[in-house]
This record gives sequence, C-alpha cells and structure tokens, in this order.
Amino acid sequence: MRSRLVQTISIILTLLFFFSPPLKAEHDARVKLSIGGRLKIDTIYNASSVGGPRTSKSDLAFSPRSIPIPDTGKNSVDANLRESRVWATLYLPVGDNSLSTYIEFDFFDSKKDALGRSHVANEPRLRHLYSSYRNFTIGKTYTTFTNLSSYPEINDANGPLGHFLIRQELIRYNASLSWGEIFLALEKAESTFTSTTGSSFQVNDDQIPDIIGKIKFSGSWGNMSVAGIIREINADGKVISEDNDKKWGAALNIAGRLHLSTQDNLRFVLSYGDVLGRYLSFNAFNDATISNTGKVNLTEILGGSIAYQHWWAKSLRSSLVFGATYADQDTSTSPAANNKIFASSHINLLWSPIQKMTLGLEWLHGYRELNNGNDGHLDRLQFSAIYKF
Amino acid sequence: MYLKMLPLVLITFITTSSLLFANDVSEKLETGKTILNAIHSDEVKKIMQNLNNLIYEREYTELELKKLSHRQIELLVEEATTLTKTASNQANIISLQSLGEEEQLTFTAMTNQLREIAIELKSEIGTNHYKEIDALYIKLQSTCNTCHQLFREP
Repeated sequence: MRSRLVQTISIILTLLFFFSPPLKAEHDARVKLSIGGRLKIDTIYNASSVGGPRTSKSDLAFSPRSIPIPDTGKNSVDANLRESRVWATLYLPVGDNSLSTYIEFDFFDSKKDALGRSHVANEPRLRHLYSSYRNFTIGKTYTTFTNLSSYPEINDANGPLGHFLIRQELIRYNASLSWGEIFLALEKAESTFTSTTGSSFQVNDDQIPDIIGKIKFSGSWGNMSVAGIIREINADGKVISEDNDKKWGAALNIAGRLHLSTQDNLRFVLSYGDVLGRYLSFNAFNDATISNTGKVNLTEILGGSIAYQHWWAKSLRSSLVFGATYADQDTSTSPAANNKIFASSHINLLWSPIQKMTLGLEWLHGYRELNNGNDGHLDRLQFSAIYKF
Repeated sequence: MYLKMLPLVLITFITTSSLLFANDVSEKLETGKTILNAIHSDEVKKIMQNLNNLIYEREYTELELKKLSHRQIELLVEEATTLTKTASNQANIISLQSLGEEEQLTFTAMTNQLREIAIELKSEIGTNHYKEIDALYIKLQSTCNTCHQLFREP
C-alpha cells in the first residue's frame, strides 16, 4: 500500500517535471509552486564487491559495516541513477509570512524482482517532507545535530565516516541572530543494540524523543556550530521481558566550514559521546550493547572528518577527505568480532562546465577493524555526472 | 583492473556531455573594470561569489538553499545601501564631474533606483514571501547590470 502511494507520487512528480510549463501553479499571485530535481548517473568500480547478487546498496553507496573481512570478494562494476532526485516546493502566504512545504524523493529504495535483480526496480524513497513557518519546522528532514555546511562535496551517496547524514521526523525551533543561529529540536527516538551474539536489533517502542540543541556562528570567515544531544536508550524488555532497562546518555559535536580563500575551504566535524551510535557514520556502531540479563551498556564513540576543497579553476575543484570513527565497546558483552574502528578517505576531481552540471571522478578507500584485530579494506572508483533541472 | 570501468565511464560521459551544449546558463560575475570608485566593492564581489557557490551545494534542500541565498541577498542589500550613500559623497561627486551632464543625471537616477529597491527588498526579506523577494532581487540585479554596462569599461 505504502509503496504504491510512493510510486504514484513519484509518477506524478515525474509527469510534473516533463510537463512543467503549464504546471507552474499561480492560483494566488503570492502562491509559488516549483518543481525541480537532479539527474545523477553513477558508474562505480569496486575492487571488492560487498553486495549480494546485484541487489545490495552497499556496492552503490559506501557502507562501512560491509567492508569485507577478510577481503575475499571479487571486483564489480555497476551503474545506476538511484541518487537522482525529484523535489517540489510550495510557498503559501499565511498572514504576513509564508508557509513553505518541501518534498523530495530519490530512487534508492531498491527492491528485487522475482529473479533477484535490483537494476529493474529503482523505487522512489522519501528523503524529505516538511513544512516551515516562521521559526518552526515540522516533518522529516536532516537531523538538527548535523551541520550540512561541513559536509564535503563528494560523489559517494553516503559520505565520509565521522559524519551525520540521517533524516528523521522532528519538530524544530530556530532563531536567527546577528551572529548566527540557535536551534532546539525534538526528534524521533530509536535505539539500536548489539546483543551478546553480535547481532543487531532495534526497538520500536521508545518513549522519549531525542533532545537536540545547536548554536551556529556565522561570518565572512565561514561558520562553526556546537551541538548537543540527549537520548534515552531504551531496551524495552527486548531481552528480558520484565526488565525494561534504559539509560540516559549525551553527546557533543563541533562542525563547520572555514573559508581559506575566495573559494578554497576546510570542512570539519568532531563528535564524542555515548549516544552517537545511530546518528554517526550510518549506524556503524549501535547505540549500546546489551547483556543476557538485559543490562544496557552505552557505546562511547569518537568520530570526525576533515575535508579540504581546492578550486583549481573557476569550475574545476578537488576535495581531499579523511574520516574515522572509533567505539569503546564493553568487551564483556560484545563479541570479539564486533567492529572497533572505521576509516575512510576520498579524493576527487570535479568539473562543472556549466553551473547546472558536474562531472567528477572519485577514489574512495575504506578501512574496518574488529575488536579481535582482524581488518579489511575496500577501494572504489566512482564516476558521477549530475545535471540539475 | 580499473580499465573495466572505462566503457561505462565513456557512455555516461557522452550522454551527459550532450546536455552540456544544450543549456548553458552560467552567469558571469565579472562586470568589467571600474570607472567610478563609487561603484566598486570587494564585499559585493564576495557576496556574489557566495551566491554563486550555492549552486554546487549537494545536500541542502531547495528550501534551505533559498534561505541561505536570502541571507546573502540581505548582506547584498546592506552593501548596496552603503554604496548608494558613498555614491553621493563629495569625493564621488568630483569623480562624477568627469562624466557628461546627461551621464551624471543617469548615474544619479540609477543610484536612487538602487536605493529604493534595496529598501523594498530589506522589508520583504523578513516576511519569507519568496516570490516577491525573487522578483525584487532580479530587479536589483538588472539595475546593477545596467549601471555596470553604462559606467564600466568593457
């Protein structure tokens, strides 16, 4: 039912795009509906295939947990346009201000056909759906904990380790001040756990939303933000039904972008805390480990990324990105084969012959180390072409 | 091993390159060499560069990009207001005297027009009425461009 709805919406958006001239709604002189998107074609060579038989997203977007240990996978070449996006914005005057609504889809929701092939089923996936009025935002979008400005310009869909790029349901208040902005948000709670066998599970009955606050300083030098998060990690009796163990934890993050010259810039993010699991590096580590008696042990995580972008010419630039994340896990309850360190590096050359188009080649190296010292590597070469419409 | 990827790269490159020649809408930031000190501002160049760079942002939503561009337009308005004040000070009046009478009148009229649009734009930015803001910004750009064409060396 849900997938049919998503499919219908995507077809409508596609039709709106192709027949856009008559569909610029002008019901009220101040109402504005605009539709746009981007076409992104990726061609990816994996030195070691990390996906299943043509079905895994891990071959298409960097997924640290899937770095093979030991490195026995065969190489693979793939092409896809799943990171293409279609979006629509609606500005509706309400009182002396405007209510802005935004919806965006990509095509990363891959389902297999009857033969297990994924290339014929690039289903739409809802990325954003939210409304903003004055200082309030309600809906699904990027977590307040992240600073998008610190995210490097790279081809890979998931980005470097040490970054937050999760989108979830939230209610956010933000106020602009002369020196920057402040944000306060309540966001969707969801606890993720590692059991004593090493398997992962998540809880659906969280009771208290994640609480996030952020201060962002901006100036001609760039911007920098300091964000804090408080979460309740709740096992909800998943291991021992009578024992509803839960723990409160917190984390901090500093992120920003510094202008080094007219266009060169340095982007960074550094985070530390014991509730970063689900937020950091695509849930590389879970929020907590849980013992056989249902006792919750929060996972302390340190993660960060640094990216230098250099502009060789007006439309030619490169980014050099390093990212890593480390978890200090309770070894009494977590198996030796659990992940301990992840690291990644990206280097690319991107060219925008016209403003709406970018062509680029990127090399990615991923590293994964387990608690028992075993490690694995992944090399990936990705060519991407983006056209914005 | 990486050679295996080459045919796919070439196909993608050829497909997307055809779009390259279809619609070149790139904007030119350079507007020529300044004749009048009154209309020269490094800050404006910087703001225009920041506005220009927003096109390369990948993860911001269109709504957020709009918000960021309006912040830059706000800074541009502040700078434009300062520039119009500078344009009427004594030093620039002397510099204006190198122009003919008709050119002086045109320059003054355009300065006044810029000031009026800047004031209007400033009051709209707080309302988030995107349509009005966009229209006024286009008007501001066109005033700037016309003035640059008339009073700057090509």
